[in-house]
Amino acid sequence: MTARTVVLGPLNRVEGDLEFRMVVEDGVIRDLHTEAVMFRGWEIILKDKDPWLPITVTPRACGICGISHIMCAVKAVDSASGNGLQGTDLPPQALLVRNIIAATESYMSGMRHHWLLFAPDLCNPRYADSPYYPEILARLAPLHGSSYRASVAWSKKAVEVTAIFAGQQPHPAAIVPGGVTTSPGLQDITKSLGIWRDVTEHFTENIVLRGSVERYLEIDSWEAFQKWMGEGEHEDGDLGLFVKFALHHGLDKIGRGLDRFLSWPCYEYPSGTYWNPGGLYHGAWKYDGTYEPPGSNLKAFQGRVTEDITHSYFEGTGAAHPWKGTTVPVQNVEPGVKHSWAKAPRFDGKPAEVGALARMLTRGDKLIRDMERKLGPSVFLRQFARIHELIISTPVIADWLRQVDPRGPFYVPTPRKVADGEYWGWHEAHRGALCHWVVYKDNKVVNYQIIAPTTWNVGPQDGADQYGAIASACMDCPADDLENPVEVFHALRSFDPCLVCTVHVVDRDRTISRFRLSP
Amino acid sequence: MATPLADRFAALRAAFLTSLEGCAEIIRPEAARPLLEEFGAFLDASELAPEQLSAEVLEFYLYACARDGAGTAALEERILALKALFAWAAHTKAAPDLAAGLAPLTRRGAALAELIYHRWPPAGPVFVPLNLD
Repeated sequence: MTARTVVLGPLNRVEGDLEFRMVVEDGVIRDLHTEAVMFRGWEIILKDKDPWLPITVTPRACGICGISHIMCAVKAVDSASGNGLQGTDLPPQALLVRNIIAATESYMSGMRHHWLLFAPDLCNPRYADSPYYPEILARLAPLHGSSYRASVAWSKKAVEVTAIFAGQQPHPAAIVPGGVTTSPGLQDITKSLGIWRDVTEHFTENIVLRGSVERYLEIDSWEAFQKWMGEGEHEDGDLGLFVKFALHHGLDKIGRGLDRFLSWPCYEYPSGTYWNPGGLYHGAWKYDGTYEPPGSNLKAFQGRVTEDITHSYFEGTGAAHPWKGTTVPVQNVEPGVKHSWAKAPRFDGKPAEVGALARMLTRGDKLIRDMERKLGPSVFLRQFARIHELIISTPVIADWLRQVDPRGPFYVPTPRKVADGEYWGWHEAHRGALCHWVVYKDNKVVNYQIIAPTTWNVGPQDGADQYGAIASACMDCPADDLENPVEVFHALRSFDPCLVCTVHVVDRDRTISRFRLSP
Repeated sequence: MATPLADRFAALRAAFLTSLEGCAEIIRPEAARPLLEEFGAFLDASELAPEQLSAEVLEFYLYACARDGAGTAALEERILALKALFAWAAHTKAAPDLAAGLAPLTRRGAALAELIYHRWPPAGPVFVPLNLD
């Protein structure tokens, strides 16, 4: 049979546009190019601007992960303003409130990813003969399913806590160099605790687990999880239903990907430690299960990042560290050697997967590490890890809320002038590792480069023809039915690709509009 | 033996609950009684002097309930019970309205708070924040 080139797109359900150009032969994907089809121009907008401007501008890259961008932009300024590397010298209450704001936004995003963006594919007609199909439709059918609708309502409740501490959501401006501008009162904390109790009880326990979070936290291995599934009504919860469905339909055997994971340290504690210490994890399924923490030399750790533009619509070729990176669009955007507006990030010159699974593995989560070792990475494990992270972070956020002290302080005055030099601000957006790299000179931005989570996952192959995480995962999938390649959809959407902060706007055939950004 | 503050609050509570009998259109005495008894026990345990009872004590009590795991509904019924008691107390000049600054948590709670202040009008305007739930 002859090879056939197939273009699939637009593929992602959230923001931005993504296309696949696949070469398929005998139901097997022989080659796959990911194509981010819009131009990202944040770096150009920010050049020569005030160092504080990215704090306002970059969160507008996205209405979903805006707080993650604010965190990165602010941490870079904190580092250059005497507030400690990544702002770790700030008052403990300031760090705590930042964590609450960011974690509750991420929680909302996680709920919406599984129930609104990933789960609709489980309702695909391909599964009409599945013994689980009636229940899947009853719970997960878009707009109608009971859990689908509950996730809309409860993710909104979760993000109310974000708004209480950040003043508004989306696009809050409460996180600033020096801390936060909000000083929560006792009634704010009381209301937030009440909301969080509701989210925990009504969504996490009643819908997801059909059991207590406390009992779930005792699970430390795949065998212990299976035992838990057999207890009470656990297997009837949404997590139980997903596990039964995924194993029955082989989602644990497709979309394996790179088995090499990266996350940045996130959710700082005053002691200088992190809820997730971040780092690099080589999976035990394909490699040796070694974990490399960032260690004490964080600057050296981030220094191992490069972005390759060999196959990206930017002038030049090869790879450079973001501080040395350039963003000069090419004029000819017809797909060829260059075929994507996303760059190809690399760590030690190699691609890596980022996201909830990466966070759980670098954090040393016993259950997820055990599952990765025994089952290998897959669509199933990637999605399981995302739900797992939601569950285990529920009591963490409640604990942070209990620690808020209205007496503060929540802010230290910070000068408007930054020190010249190279800085970075990193955080874990829900979709994975996000980092802003910036060079300041004479209190202006000389270079600003953002590597968003989806850039890591969806970026094209590099100069050494190494594929990114999504391309690798999708090439593991069968492609028998090119009219409805549901396995490819599962693999792709298990990463929750969101292109809006990976790229920005362009039209291949005409100029949409011209804007003058500076005199 | 209860503290003087707890004793005085118990007397206030009893008079309030008695006043509700026959006019329970806003809050039923049998619903309010356990909630106010719980607050009385909190005051007793706090060992505060009567002159130390303040709006901040009410806020802290609700915060303690939330820390102990109360959800929005459980907190809201406590807020409304306290608002009703202290609105009645201020109206009858038995005590100042220490609960006027407690913000209801939900839209429904805000509407019920308006009804409370309609039943026992305050001396001055009371701002009831409208929360969007």
